[in-house]
Order: sequence, then structure tokens, then C-alpha cells
Amino acid sequence: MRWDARIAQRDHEQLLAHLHPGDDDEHAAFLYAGEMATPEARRLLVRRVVPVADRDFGPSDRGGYRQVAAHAIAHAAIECEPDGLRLLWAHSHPGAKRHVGFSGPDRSTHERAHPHMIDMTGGKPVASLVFGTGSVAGEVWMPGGAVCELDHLDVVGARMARLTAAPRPTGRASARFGRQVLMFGAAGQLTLGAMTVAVVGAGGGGSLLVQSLAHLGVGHIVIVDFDRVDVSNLSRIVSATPRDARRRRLKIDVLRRLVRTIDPEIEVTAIAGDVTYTEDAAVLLGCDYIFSATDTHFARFAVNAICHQYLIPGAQVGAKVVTDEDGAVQLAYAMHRPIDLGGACLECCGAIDPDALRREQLDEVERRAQDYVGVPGRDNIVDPSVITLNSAAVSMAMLDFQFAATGMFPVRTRLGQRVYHAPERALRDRDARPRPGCRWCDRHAGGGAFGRGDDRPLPLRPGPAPRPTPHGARERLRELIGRL
Amino acid sequence: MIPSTQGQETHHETGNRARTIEILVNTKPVKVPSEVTGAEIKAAAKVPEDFRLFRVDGHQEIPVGDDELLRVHHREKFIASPTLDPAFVASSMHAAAVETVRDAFPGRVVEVDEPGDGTTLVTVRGIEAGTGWNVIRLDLAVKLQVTFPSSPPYPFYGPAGMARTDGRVLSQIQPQVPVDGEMRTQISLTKPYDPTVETLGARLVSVAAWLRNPR
Repeated sequence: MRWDARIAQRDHEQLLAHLHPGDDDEHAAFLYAGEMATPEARRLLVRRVVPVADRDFGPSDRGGYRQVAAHAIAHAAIECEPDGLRLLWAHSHPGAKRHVGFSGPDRSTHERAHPHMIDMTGGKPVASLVFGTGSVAGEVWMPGGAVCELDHLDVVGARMARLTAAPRPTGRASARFGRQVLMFGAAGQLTLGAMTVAVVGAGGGGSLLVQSLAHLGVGHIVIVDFDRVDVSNLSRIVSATPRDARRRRLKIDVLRRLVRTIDPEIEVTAIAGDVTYTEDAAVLLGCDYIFSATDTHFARFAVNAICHQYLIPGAQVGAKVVTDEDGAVQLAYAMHRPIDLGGACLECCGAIDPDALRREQLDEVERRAQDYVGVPGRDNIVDPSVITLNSAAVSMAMLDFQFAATGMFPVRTRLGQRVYHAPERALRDRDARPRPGCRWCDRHAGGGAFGRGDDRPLPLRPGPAPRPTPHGARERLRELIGRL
Repeated sequence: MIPSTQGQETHHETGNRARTIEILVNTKPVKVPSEVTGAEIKAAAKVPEDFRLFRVDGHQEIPVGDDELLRVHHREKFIASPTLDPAFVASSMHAAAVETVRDAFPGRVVEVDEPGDGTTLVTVRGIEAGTGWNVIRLDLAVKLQVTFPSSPPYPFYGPAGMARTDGRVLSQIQPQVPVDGEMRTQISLTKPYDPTVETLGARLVSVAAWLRNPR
């Protein structure tokens, strides 16, 4: 079984600052982690970094250089066990930069300590990691005694990177990306080619995102939407044609065709579903980045939950036009809300309206009954929409994605919300802080979901979403063949 | 008979499973016999046993059972993906909230109904209604959405036909509302809900207090 690990960029920066302070000495830290299964591997998700005080990482009496004090290990295990977290311990090799590995005394320590640590944490796997300044090696010890090497550690956030024990050979980027390679380098382009990126919502914003991702050379694009093309969509969905509207084609099929025309080598997974249902949402768990381009608060809620629980960076894009009673435009803005793990989540940003979230889960009868006495909902109100605003939001989001994925942002970059107010020609940052106790972005919150992976059920509707009724002879035939 | 992955049915010959075919599981090439079960494909692809397997057919992904015997063709595509636990309904958030209701109403029966759609209906039995109502005691209920506490607990429900006897008309009371096939009285008391400073039990206590002294 292959193991890998994922850590938020902010936590990685905190960890490196502690492990490599520049004193040419070794330092140590504990990492508390959740776990998930991917199709290729088991993945450890770092939920918290807990530095070990230097007084608890003193000279070894067993032949090594330093060792973590027993009481510090016990304290960490006591913190992990009730929450069902995996205990990882990390230390540094000060001279190591791009290559790092365990020493003989390190391995002896693993053999002595890991079986006890497994017992102390309730039979969960434990892992040991050693960090160079730009590398990491690791071992995962299973309760049955099996030991696996850690394949890599992915740093996710504004400055994404894959850390391994030694540099791995890279290939050459395709000639079609020659001009991009001049900007990202071949390694950056190959990183994009190895990524799986999801776009939730295949409307105006979603179609622009898919188009940009395909041009950038992202290797695998996942698209989720259950809706069909309508004639009113033709002004916004890139590549949708009047024939698509007449045939009421699924939006995902239109975007699949768009990707194929740009680059047939890109893999596309298109789901005619809804990420507010667990089975449809499962397709997002293996993604490296998730864009939310949907108007519904429940879908935003789902993306926000998945990103934080599974440590997947992402962004929500949207545009809004507000008119007064006479139809005059009061506000017209494009919004980009990055999901910068460790920063404010979409709930804390105010992107998810609690009451709209509740209303979207009511059936028609309940909604009517509640509207009778409460404030009527806006379900049947059609908001103005225009592709130029979508484009502005998508441009901001794609630039952040591209710089983050290729590691081009400077160290300690923090991605905040950004709003472009078109009538004022003003681009503004919107400040948002994690709310204390937020179950998504406050990792100190009791019962919080940050980095918990498969340990916690996702708060979504059970099962798959009802599938769209087949439309037209071709879809009916396809469904019939599927049934047979 | 076994379902062919090419949309036709063919006869199964048990002795004809030796031919090796290359298929793609999550885009990775895997060699399997031409007739193979879902479990054997997962084992050959080294994906965990509890993953769900799907056969890719055009734009559709068709689930494949572990015991289902397939005839596969060269480079046919399969997807293996993690399964999310469908038995998640009694989520820890709902369960913790129900505990706060039990704490807030000691001695009262607190019933929990999970209809299977991710919602939880919490009912406190036998709350004193106070004067001015046509009932002495009532069952006070609230439905928690799957997204609770991100979505607030609202509205609240009493028994169908609940009405004032003192002639007051309360805009927050809607006497005949269907909820999951049953008529109830809807109590529309809404305000923002912050789970870091308020519990579900506390919210129900304040609803009960409002019923005894409606404003």
C-alpha cells in the first residue's frame, strides 16, 4: 500500500520555521493527522502542528543525537487518542536541502518507539518524518507491524509543492505549452499536467474556468452539474450553441466537447449530478483543487466542507448584479473567494447564507408554508447576469490558481477575497477572519472537521442526486443500453 | 449468462477465462482475465476492497457489484472511487445537539426521528403550553437539516390545530402545515443561530418560553 501526506501551506511554513530556525541544530515537532483513502494511496492529512520544546528534545542516551522526551510523546498521544487522530513526529536534519533520509539511530528509535505509540493512540498508524529544507522522507508504521515509506508530502495552499526524499526525474513539457513554459518552467507545466481539478457548476463562470484549465494544460478536469442548456444560457456558456439549447443538451456534455476541441489528451470526468449528495461529492475527494462556480448555497457549503475536511485548496467565483425597483443597476461586481486552508472559510467569509442554505433543502410544500408567514424566498427571481462579469471573477481565480499550483507566489502569501466593482472600476480586497469555533476553519474547535478526512462523515444528503430525465432519442437510447 | 460490457449478452464459458486483457482502472493499465468479477478487478488494480467500481460507458458510469461477472474488452475504462458511508445520518453534530436538548428538558421525553434524507426531527414531548392555548401540553419539534448548525434550526412545530383561546392572532403561528405527510402547527420564530454561544436545547427553551408569553 502506498502512503502519502498533505499539509496546508500555512502549517508547513510554521513547521519549517520551527525545524529549521537557522541554528544548524536538530528540532522536532508533532503533527496530528486525519486519514483518507484515495484510489492510489492512503493519505495522512495534517490537522495540527505542535512544536516540541527544545527542552523536550534533549541529548539521546541511546546512541543517537537527540530524542523526544517520553512525557512529551505521552502528552501528544493523549491529545490524539480521544479524537481518533494519527500521531506523526517530525525532526530536522539541518544540513539537508533537496535530499534527506533517516539515519541508523533514527531507524532504531522507530523500532523501539513506534509499537508503543501505536498502542497509545488506540491502534492507529503512526509515522515519522525527517525534513530537509526542501525535502522530506517518512515511514508509516501499521498496527500489524508493516512499515511503508511515505511517497511524498504535498504542501497545499497559496504555494503548492510536492516534497520527496530526493528530487525525481521530470519529463519534457509538450511543445504546445512552449510560451507558458517560459513563465512556469517545464516543472510547473508538468505539475499542471499531473493535476486533477474540479469545477462545480457548468454555467457562465464554470464554462470559462473549464476553458482556461484546458488551455493551461491541466491533465484531468472534473465537471459536475445536473442542468441542461437553455436558450438564455447561450450568452454566457462558452461554446454552447443554439443547437445545444434546442436539444437541451446537458451542460457537462457541452463542456466535455469544449475540452476535447482544445486538447483531446485531457481526461474529463463529467458527472450529471449534484455535490450536495454524498455519492456525487465523492468524485471531488481525489481532486487537487476545486472551483465552485455555483449559485446555490448548499453546493458552496459542500465544496467548503470537502476542501477543509480533505485539505483541498479551492476557490469560489461568482458575479452579482443588483438592480433597484426600476431596474437601474445598483451594484455589479465580480467576486473571487479563495479557499486558503487555514484562512477564513466560505462560511466565515459570508459566502454561505445560513437561511438560504436551509431553504434550499426544503421541499416545495415546506417552502410555501414558510413563505406564507416569513419573508418570501427569492426562488423564482431571475438575477441579471453577464459573461463579462463572470470573466473578471474567473480571471482573478485562474491567476491565483496558476501561481499557487506552480509555486510562483512568494513565501507567506495569503490569499484573501477580492471583489471587482465594475461601475467604479475598483478592485478591492475583502477582509475575513476565521470565526473562533468555526467547525471548518478553526482546527482548535472541539469536533472541528479540518483535516479529518474519512474519519468524519460529510454533512451532505445521502446517496446520489436524482439523475436528469433523458432528453431526446440519443439520450433515451443511451439510457436503455445502460439498463441492459 | 453474463452482461457484456459492449451492450450484448454472450454465453459464459467457464473454461475461457485464461485470456488476459488490459483494461484501465482510474486510467492505470491493469491486466485481468477477459471474464472477471468486480472484486477481481479491484484486487488486480490494488484499490481498497471497500471502493466502488464503475464501468465507463459513454458519458455514463455504471456501478459494478463485487460478485458481478463481466466480459471486458481491451482498454475498457473503469473508475474505482471511495465510498462515503451512507449511514451517516446520525451525524455527530445532530447527536451532540440532541444531547443539549435532553440536558435542557430533564424529565421530558426527547424523541429523534431520522427519515433517511439526512435530516433529523427532534421532538420534546409534553411541554407546558401556558395559558391562552387550546392545549395544556404540547409536543415541540424542530427539523435539523443535514447542514445544521451552518443552517439555523427553524421553523418549530407544535400539534396540528393548536390555537389561541383568548382571541389573539399571532402572525408567527400557522396552524395547518404538512410536514413529512403529517399536519402540524408551524411556529415561525427565527433569529440568527450561533452554535458557539447557543445550543439547540437553549433555542427550544426560548421557543417554549415564547409560547408561554407570546409577543
